[in-house]
Amino acid sequence: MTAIENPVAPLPSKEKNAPIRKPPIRLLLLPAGTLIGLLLVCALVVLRMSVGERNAEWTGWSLRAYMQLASSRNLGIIIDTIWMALLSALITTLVAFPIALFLTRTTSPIARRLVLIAILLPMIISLLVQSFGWMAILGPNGLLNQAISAATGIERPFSLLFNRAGVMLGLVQTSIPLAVLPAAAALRSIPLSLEEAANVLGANRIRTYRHIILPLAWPGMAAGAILVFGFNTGAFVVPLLLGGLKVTTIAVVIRDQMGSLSNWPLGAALSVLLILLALAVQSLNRLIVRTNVEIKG
Amino acid sequence: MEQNPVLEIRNLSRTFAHGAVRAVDHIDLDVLPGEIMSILGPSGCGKTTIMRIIAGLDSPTSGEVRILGKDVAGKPPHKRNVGLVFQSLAIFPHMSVKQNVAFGLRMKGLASNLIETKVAKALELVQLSPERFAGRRPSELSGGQLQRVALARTLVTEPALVLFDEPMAALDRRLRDYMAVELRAIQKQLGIAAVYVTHDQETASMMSDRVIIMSAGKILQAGTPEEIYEAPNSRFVSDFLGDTNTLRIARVLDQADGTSLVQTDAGLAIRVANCSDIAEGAFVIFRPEQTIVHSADPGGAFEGRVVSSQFRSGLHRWQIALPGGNTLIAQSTENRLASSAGETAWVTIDSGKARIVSQ
Repeated sequence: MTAIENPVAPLPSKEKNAPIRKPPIRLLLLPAGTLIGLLLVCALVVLRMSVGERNAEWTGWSLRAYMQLASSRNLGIIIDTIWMALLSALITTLVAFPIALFLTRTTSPIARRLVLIAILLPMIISLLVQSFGWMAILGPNGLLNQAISAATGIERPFSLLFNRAGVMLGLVQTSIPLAVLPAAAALRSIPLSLEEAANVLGANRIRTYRHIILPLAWPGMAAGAILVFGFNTGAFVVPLLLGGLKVTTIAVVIRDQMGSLSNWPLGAALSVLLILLALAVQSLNRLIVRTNVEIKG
Repeated sequence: MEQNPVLEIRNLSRTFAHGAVRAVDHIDLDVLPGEIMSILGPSGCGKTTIMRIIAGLDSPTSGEVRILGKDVAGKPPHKRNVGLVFQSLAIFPHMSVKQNVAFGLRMKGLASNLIETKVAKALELVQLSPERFAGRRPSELSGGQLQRVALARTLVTEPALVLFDEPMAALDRRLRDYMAVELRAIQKQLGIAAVYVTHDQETASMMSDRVIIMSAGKILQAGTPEEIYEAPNSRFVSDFLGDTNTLRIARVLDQADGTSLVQTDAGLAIRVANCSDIAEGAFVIFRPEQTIVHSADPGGAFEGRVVSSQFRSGLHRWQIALPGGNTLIAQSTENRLASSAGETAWVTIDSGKARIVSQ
C-alpha cells in the first residue's frame, strides 16, 4: 500500500533478508508535524472565532465579521494590501533578476560570496532593525534628505517616510533574498552551452534572453515572485514602522482589532482571509512548478 | 585546380592567465570546400579553443581567422555563418524538436511556411520522420535521436562551415561508429565543409579527409588519416593513433642505400628501410601489426617470452618480453602462437614499415 501511495519509497525488502528493523521513516516528520498540528489547531480556533459574536466568540454564531470585511474601509485596506504585495513582488523580481544573473555568471568566487552575504543579510537581521534603519535614512531629517539638501540647498526635498513609497521600498528590500535565491537556482541550472548554441544559430543577446534564458528561468522567477507576494500580504513590521498610520495593511488591522479594540471576530475574519490568500498563492506556486516539470520531463 | 579555402587560420594564438598558458600556439590551417578536417588531440591540447575561436565564442590573442576569405575578427557568433554542434548537444529543453530545428531560421527572419518546409527537409535528412518527431519534446528522445536533432538544427541554417565539438563522445562505440558513417554520408551529400574536434582517433579516421594532430597548443602533424597512421613523425603522434612499439636507439651499426641497421638500448639490432640521417637519441617505432610472431625460430628473429595474450574482435595480440628489458606488442589475425604466458616465442619486424622518429 505504501509503495503505491508513495512512488519514491524504496522497495520493501524481504523480511528474512532484513533482520535489522529500521524505524519507520515517518518518524522523521514527528517534531515538525507536532508544530504544524498545533498551528492547525490555532487556525481552527481562528476560524471558529471569525464566525463568533463579539465578546462571545466561543458560544455565539454570526457572520457579522465577514460582512464587516466588505465595509469600504476594510475593503480598501484589503485591496491595498494585495496591491502592495503584488507590486512589491513584481519590483522585487525585476530587481532580483540581474543580481541572480550576476551570482550565476561571475567567475570570482569572492564577489559571489560577498554578494550572497549581502543578499542574505535581510534574512539574518531582524525586520524591526531593518525598518528602523530605513527610518533613519528616509525620515524628514534622515540621511537621504540631509545629503540631498546639503547638495541642492532644498529643504526636505523628499518625503519617503510614512507613505506608500517608503513602505514599498521596505517591502522590496526585505524580500529580495526570497526572489534572488530561486531565480539564481533556476539560472544556474541553465547550461551556458544553450546560450552559446542560440548565439551561433543567429540569436543576438536580447533574443537569446527572450527565447532561451527567460523561458527557462521563468519558473524560478515566478516561484520567487509568489514567495514575495505571500510574504508581503502578511507584512506587519515594515508597514507599521515605515507607513506610520498612513499606510495600513491587513496584518496591522488584525493587530488593532485583536489587540487594542478586542474585536476578535473581525480580527479572526481578516486572519482567515490572509490564510486563504496564502493557500491560493500556494496553489498558484504548485501550478507553476507543474508546468516546469512538464518542460523538463 | 586550386580551390579557395572555406576556412583559413593564420598564426592563431590564444593565451590564458595573462600569457602563462598558451592554449593555442601559432596555428595555421585551411579547410577546403566539401572536406571534413579533424583536429585530433588529447584533452587540453587547445582543439576546443580553436573551435570556439572559429565560432566567435572566444577571441584569439593574436592571429587571423578568415571564413570564405573574409576576416571575422570582432564579429559576434550570430553573424559568422558557421554552425556548431556542441558536445552537450545543447538542445533547447523547453522547445519541441521542430522548434529546436526552426530556431536558426526564425532568427534569420524567414517566412513561416518556408521554415516549415526546411525543417521537414532537415529532419528527413537526418532520418527523423517529421510526422513522428516534429512535435516531440527533447526529453522524449534517445541519445542518438538528440544527436540527429542537433545535426538538423545546425544544417538547416546552411552555414558555410560546420564545427563539431565531439558531439558523439557520449554515445557508445557501436552507435558512434554508425553515426560517424551517417554523418560522413550527409556531409558528402551536402558538400559542406566541416571541422571535427575530437580526442577519439577512430572516429576521426573514419570520417575525415584530413586530420591535424595537436598537442600543447601546437600542430604536430597534418595529413590524411592513413598518411599519419602509416608515417607518424613523432612518438606522440604514433602513440596517439594506436598502440606502438617504441625502442630507443643506442647507436647506428650500419648505413647503406637508405637502409640503416640500428641497435636499441636493449641491444636489439633492427633494420629500418627508408631513412637517411638518424639524430642522437632517436627512436625506432613500429606497430603491433608490423610484427610477425613465430612459435619456432625462423632465423634472424628476436627470441622472447610471452607475457600475456589476448583475443579481441578477430585479432590476436601478444605481449612479448625480450631479453634486455623491452616488451613488444605483436598482433595478427591468425592465432600464430598456441602458447600461453611464460613460453618462448620469436618476433620478426617488417623493416619496410618500421620508422625512425627523433622525439
